[in-house]
Amino acid sequence: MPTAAAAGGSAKERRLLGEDQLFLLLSILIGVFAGLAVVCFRMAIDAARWILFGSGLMPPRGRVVLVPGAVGLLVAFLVVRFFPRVRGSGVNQTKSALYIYDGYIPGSTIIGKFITSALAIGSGQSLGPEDPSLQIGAGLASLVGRRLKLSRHNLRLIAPVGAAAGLAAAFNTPIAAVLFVIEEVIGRWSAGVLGAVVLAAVSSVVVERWFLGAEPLFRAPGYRLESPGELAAYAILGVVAGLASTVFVKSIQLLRPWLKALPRWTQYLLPALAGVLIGLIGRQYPQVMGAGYEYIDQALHDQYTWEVLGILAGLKILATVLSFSSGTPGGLFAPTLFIGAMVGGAVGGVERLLYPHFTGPLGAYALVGMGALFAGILRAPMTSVFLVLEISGNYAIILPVIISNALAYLISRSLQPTPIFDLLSRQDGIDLPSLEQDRERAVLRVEDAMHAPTPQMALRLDDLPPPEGVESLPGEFFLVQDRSGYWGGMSKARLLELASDRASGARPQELPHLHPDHSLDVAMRRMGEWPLLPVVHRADGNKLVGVVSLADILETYRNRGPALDELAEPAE
Amino acid sequence: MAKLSKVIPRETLLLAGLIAVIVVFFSVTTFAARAYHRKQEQFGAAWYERGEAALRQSRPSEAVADFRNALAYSRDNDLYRLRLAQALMADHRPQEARSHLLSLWEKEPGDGTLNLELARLAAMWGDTPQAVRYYHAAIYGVWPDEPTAHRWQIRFELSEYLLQRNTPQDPKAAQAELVALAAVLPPQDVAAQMRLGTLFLQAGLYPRALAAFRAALADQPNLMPALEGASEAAFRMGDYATARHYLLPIVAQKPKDEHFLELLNLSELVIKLDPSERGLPSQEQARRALQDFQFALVRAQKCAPASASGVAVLLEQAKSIRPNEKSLARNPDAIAKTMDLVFKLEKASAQCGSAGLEDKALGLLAQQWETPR
Repeated sequence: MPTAAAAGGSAKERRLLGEDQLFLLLSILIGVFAGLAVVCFRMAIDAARWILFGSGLMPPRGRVVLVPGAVGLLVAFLVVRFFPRVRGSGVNQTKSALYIYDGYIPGSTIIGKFITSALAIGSGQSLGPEDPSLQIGAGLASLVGRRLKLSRHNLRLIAPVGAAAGLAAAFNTPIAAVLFVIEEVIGRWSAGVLGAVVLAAVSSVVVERWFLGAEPLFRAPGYRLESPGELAAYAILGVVAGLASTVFVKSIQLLRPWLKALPRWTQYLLPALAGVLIGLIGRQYPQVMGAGYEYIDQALHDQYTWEVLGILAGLKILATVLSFSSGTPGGLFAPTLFIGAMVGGAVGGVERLLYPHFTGPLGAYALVGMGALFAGILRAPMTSVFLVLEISGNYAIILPVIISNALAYLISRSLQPTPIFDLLSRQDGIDLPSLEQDRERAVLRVEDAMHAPTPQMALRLDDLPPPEGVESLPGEFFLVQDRSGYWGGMSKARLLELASDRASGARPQELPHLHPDHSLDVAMRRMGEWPLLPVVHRADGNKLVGVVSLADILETYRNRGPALDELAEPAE
Repeated sequence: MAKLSKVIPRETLLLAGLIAVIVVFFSVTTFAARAYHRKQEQFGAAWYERGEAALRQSRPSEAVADFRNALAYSRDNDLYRLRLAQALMADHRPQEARSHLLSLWEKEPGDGTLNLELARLAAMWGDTPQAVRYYHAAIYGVWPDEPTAHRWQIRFELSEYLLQRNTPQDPKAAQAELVALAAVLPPQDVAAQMRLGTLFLQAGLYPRALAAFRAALADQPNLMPALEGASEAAFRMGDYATARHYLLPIVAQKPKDEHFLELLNLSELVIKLDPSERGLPSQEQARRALQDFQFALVRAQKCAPASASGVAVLLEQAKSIRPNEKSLARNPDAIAKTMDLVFKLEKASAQCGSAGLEDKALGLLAQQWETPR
């Protein structure tokens, strides 16, 4: 949570607002700013497409190979010569700003990302506008934060706030954007950050809807569960989606470093080469070119046979791997949704063939498939569920979505332990924190370190031994329960004094208490200078269930910490 | 700036600057968005027009592509989506059409056109309960123009569908639809009454069919299809005098039409052979009964050698009765018994090959006698 105290040097200036209030106000302004930028970005992509291919969905055959190739050359030139930071999707760059560069994203990156992504996506590269929107939003937020001389702490946090605004406007999905940024970028839920992210996301979506309309991104036809048995079909879809996700991520894992290792001059050619190859695919299947929203809509409306859907899923994986690995700026969200819709539709089609009476509309499978691939590839399970609900405006689909997403996520996780964004950052030589691993990391608790209280360590005020008995007790500090049942602490000297003169009125000193489920981190903070702390029952504060010392805590960290870290680290 | 910041805090100035930048950016975006939407509308309308032209020229697959392009520029345009669905139907891609229609239906479940299209799809797939539900929703749905005419047409369509289905319960459902339709159709609408009469004929509601054709004839007395329908309806309901009334002008105009000629001959013969005709003197009744007996006896005697024992038994019975005109004229019950034997003989002789015109007439007469009046 940003605090006024953290404002540092800028606190010397006269301020109308505290830094907390300023941060929240800025969140709204950044949301509006990012919303406007994303609206312009989306219009720019469409304008590029109209200029390059004309107004029809099917690109003219003469241009379908030529345009992506030629524009690929231009994009590569711009990226290599002017905007080297705009490669890739933009999610990792935003995380880098948060964790490495103190929230700094250069203004040139915003401009470069805008131009190169609009050109690349508009010319048919198989990439999407959402992740670039996220980076544009983060960049604008960073720019504004720097101008206003925010504290370093707030400057770090302002970039994810802008990222949420950018993503929310790109998808028209405020909840999913907030969840994604919390789940994937920031990695923690605190009221202050959440408030700022929500304000930014909501204000950007309001702006986006003002200009582009309030309808959800896709209009999915009605869904109803034909029979409870159909949930099994959605489970199968989850499994297939998990496998497809793994194929996609593994392909990028193999191809991207191989292309990166080529001589530097090839970077001028790779986007063009990818464009030509995608154009060649596009001669037969133009659906794989660009973001492909129109075709997702068609898949949602049962417009393809399962065979075509299967082919489109395979070709989109290939095209996206080529585009992304070549270093062309653009996002992975839209291709992920495209592949998911096609995989979902294909699985639904096969199931309809086998069990026509138990299979609902293929559009429902396409919709669920989108969420499943999102969970499998981007590994943001909560976001994937809410994304499907928001982009379709259909709550009835939630049960199949949860089942498929969970299975896709688990299968992808077991076959490909490193999430794609972590994989990309490692390929780029950056060690960003893996938020999925953080989520999975087991927490060491007090119960792991405490040991049972012994009669020599925990005494009762009413039942103290005589002075010679106290003298013989091991240790210099003891837990003592007073007459009200409260557990406090006493040094040996005070205990001896009390044992000698029972009427002295000496009372145990107040101690911080712990519970068995407290993390060791909490125990460390409370330990202070005390040699021992009592661990008491949550329902009965007078019941001593254990005792913990600093040595116990350190011993537990030493013995069990590395093993738990290994569990969370990928096996690769 | 430095002087100003002495009066106003720097942070406030920067915030004001930021808001000013946003206002400028908002204005620029507004301008750009207007141009963008205008362009989108132009593209959408152009592709829509192309689709309409392709549909008019019976090129539905081209229309599908054009309407898809139009829809890409205006995803929420229900008209584009509806036309796309209709083009898909015309291109024999009902599965694809259904999904678009359902999508539209969710927004407007009371829309007449959508319900009608969905009803047609359900009918195409043989899902009769669903089809009937959608047809009814279309009948009671919203039609922006000419709602009454649309509702009549849909009820006609539903009735035709139910009659085509030809399942035991469907004719009754079809009859119910037609009766409801008859109650609201204006009698002076000749085309509608003709269509109604034809469907009533198919549904087996002959008196109502006759009424519909009569309504048409009231407006156009010489309308040949109405005369034909009326004669057919009257004939099937056993009203041979009425049938003859309508058949005479038909045969006069179409003397070589064997079907109507046969109907006329049969009608006249039934009238001539019927001893129960109202107002007939008992002598004539007896004569006709005896004549019928003779026809039946001759046919049975020809049939007897080749037939099973049933005909022989009936012949023995006929010989024992030996009716004559006087005794029959005196005893009306004897006429009834004789006619009963006539019908049994005719029925038994049916196995011996094709019947003559008189035998057919006697068969029709038997049906008339069996039907409670």
